[in-house]
Amino acid sequence: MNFIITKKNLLPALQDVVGVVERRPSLPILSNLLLNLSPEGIRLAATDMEVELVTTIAGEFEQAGDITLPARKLFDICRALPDEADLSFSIESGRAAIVSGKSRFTLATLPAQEFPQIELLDVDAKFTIQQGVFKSLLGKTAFAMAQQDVRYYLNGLLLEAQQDKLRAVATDGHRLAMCDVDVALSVDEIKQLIVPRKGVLELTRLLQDSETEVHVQMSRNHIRVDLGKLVFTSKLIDGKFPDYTRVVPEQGETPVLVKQSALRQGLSRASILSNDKYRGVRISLEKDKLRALVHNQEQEEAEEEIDVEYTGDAMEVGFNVSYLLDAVSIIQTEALMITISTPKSGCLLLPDDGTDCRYVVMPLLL
Amino acid sequence: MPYPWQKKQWRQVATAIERQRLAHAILLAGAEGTGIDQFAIELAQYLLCEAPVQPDSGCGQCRSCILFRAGNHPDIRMVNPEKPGMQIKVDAIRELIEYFHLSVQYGKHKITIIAPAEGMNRHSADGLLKTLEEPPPLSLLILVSYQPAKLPVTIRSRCQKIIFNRINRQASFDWLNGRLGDSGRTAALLEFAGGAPLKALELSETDVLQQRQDVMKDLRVLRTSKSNPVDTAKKWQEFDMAEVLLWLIFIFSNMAKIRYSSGNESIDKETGHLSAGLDLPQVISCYDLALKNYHLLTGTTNLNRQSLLEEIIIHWQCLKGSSLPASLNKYD
Repeated sequence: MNFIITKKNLLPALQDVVGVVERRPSLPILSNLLLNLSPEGIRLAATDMEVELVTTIAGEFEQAGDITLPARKLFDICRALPDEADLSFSIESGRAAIVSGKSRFTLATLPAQEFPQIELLDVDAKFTIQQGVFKSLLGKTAFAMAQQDVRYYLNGLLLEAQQDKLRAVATDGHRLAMCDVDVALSVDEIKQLIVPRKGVLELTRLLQDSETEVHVQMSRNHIRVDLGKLVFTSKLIDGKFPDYTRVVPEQGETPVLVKQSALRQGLSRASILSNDKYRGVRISLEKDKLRALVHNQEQEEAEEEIDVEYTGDAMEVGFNVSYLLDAVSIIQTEALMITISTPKSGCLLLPDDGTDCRYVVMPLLL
Repeated sequence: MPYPWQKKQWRQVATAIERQRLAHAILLAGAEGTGIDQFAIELAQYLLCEAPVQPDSGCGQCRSCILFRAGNHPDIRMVNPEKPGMQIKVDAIRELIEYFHLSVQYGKHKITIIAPAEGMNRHSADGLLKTLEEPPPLSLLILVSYQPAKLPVTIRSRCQKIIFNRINRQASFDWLNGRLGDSGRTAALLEFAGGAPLKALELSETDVLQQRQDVMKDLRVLRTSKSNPVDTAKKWQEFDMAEVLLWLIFIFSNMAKIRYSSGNESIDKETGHLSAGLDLPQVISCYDLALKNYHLLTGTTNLNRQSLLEEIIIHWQCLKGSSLPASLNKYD
C-alpha cells in the first residue's frame, strides 16, 4: 500500500486531530491514527474512546486501503520536515516507511480493523447552526458544569433540542446556567442529551467565531458535529439530567438593575477578603443600593456599596462570591437584572439585552 | 467457548440471555485456576459479538470479535489489580464508574469485568455500591471471585451469583491429560493444584514440583535437626509465597487425614513419615496457622512475608512429638 501526501495538506489535518490523542493512552491502538484511503480522499481519524475527530485530505494513491500509524510521532516528523516537502508512505508487512527528500523513517503500524471507530446509529435529531452561535451557546453555559461529581450526570452539558430551539443547561448543584438559541429544528418530542465535560471543552476549542454553518446530529449514544473539514463525535453521559426548570425562578416584579462592570469590579474587590473555603459574601439590598459585605477568619472586612435601581423590600442574603462573579463575568451586556425573591430561594441573573440566558446562584447560609 | 466443566453454568447464563433476564451484575464464584476469569471473558465476547455462534461462542469474524481479540473493544473494561495480589484501588473504581456512565459505542452492551473482586479494598467496594445499585442502561458488571466470602455482604447481595462447584476429578484429568499426554504427571500436578486444571497446566511449565519436594524436605530437616528457621523462611520466600502457604496447607491437611484414618492409600508415604509422632490436635494447629497466614498474605494489608513464614516454621519445629521414628534420625 503506497500513498503520497504533501506536508501542506497533512500538517494542518494532523494539528486538527492530534489533540484528542492522549499522551499516555490506556490502549496502544489509541496512540495511533486511522488512515482510510478511498476515492473521496484520505480520511484521518483519532480517538480517545470518548471523543473522535475525523478529517479528510487529498493525497495520491492507486489502491484503496486502511492502516493505523502512531499519531504523535507522525505529527512530530511532519512538523519537522521542510514546508514544501512531500511525504511518501509505503506500508509493507506491518511497517510503514516514510520517505521525504533525503529523510527516511520507519514506523510501526497496527491493523486498521482493530481501531475502535464510532458509528452513528439512529439519528433522532439533526439541525444546522452557525459556528459562532453554537460556540457562544457553549461558552455561556459550560462554566457551570460540575467536575468529577458523584452525580455523574452533572459532569457534562445538557443539550435540549426543542421545536425551533436549542437549549444548553449546565449545573453543579450550586449554580446553574441556561441559554436558548433559535435554530431551524423539527422534533416530535423534546430530545435531551448530556455531552461529557471533555467533549464540551474540545468542541468549544474547535468551533470558530464565524458565520459558517455546522451540521449537528444527535443519536441515542453520540453527538456528531460536522464542521466542514473536521467531524467531531463524542459519546454521551448515560443518565437523566435533573429537572432544572424547578430551580429557575421567575423574574420578579422588582428586579435589581445594575451596571455589569460596577458589580463585577465591586464583587471582585470584596472577594479578596472572603474566606478561602466558603467564599461567602453578604448581599444586602435597600432602595437603590446594593451592599456587599465580606469578612474572613482573621476578622478582616470589606464592604462595597454599588448604585443600583431597586424599589423592592430591604433584604439580606448570603452567596458564594465566586459563583456570583462567574455568572456576572459571563454576562457581557452593559447592565444586568437580578431577582432575589426571598433570602432562601435562588438568585436569578439576567442580561438586559433580551438574549435568552439565565443564571441561577443558590444562596448560602451565613 | 467455556471449558467442559463449565457447561452447566454456561447454560444458566445462556438461558438468562435468551429470555432477556440476565442480571445487571453477576458474581462468578469458584476456585482459582479453574478458568472462571476465562468464563467471564468468553461471556463478554459472546454478548458483544454481532453474530454469536449458538450456543456458546463469539463468531470470531465480526468487527466486535476482531476488536475484542485485539483487546481494543470500546465497550468492555477490565479492572484488575496493578500487580497480581495487590489491591484494586479506589481510583481504578472511580475511573470505571466514569466510563460506565458514558454511552455505549456499538449499541449492544457495556461490560466490565472485575477480577478478582475480593481485590477491591473497602473504599473501592463502597465506591462501587452506588453504581451496582443503579446501573446505567445496557451495562453488565461481572465480578470474578475466588473467595466470595471475603466480599462485603453489600456487594454480594447486589449480584446474581453463579457458583462453580468443585470440578469433577475425571473431567479435569481428561482435559489436562489431553494436553500433557502423561497420566502420571497429570495426576501429580492435579493433586498439587488442588484439582484446578488450569492451575495444573500452568504449573506444568514451572519447576514447582521440585520446589514442593524441597519444602517437604525442609519440613523433615526442621523436625530432626537444629536448622535455622530464618534461613528456611528466606529460602521459601524465593518461591511463590502464596504457593508455599498453599502447599503447607495441603501437606498439613493430608497429615490430618492420615491421623484420622491410617492406611489412606491416596496420600503419599512421605507425608506419613513426616507426621509420625504427632497427634491430631498438633497437626490441626499447624494447618490452622498456615491457613491463617495464607489469608493474611492474600488479604488487603501488606505484612512482613518473612515473619509469616517464620511463625509457621518455628511452630512446626517446636512441636513436641512423642517419638521420632528411627528412620528419620539419620538426618541429625
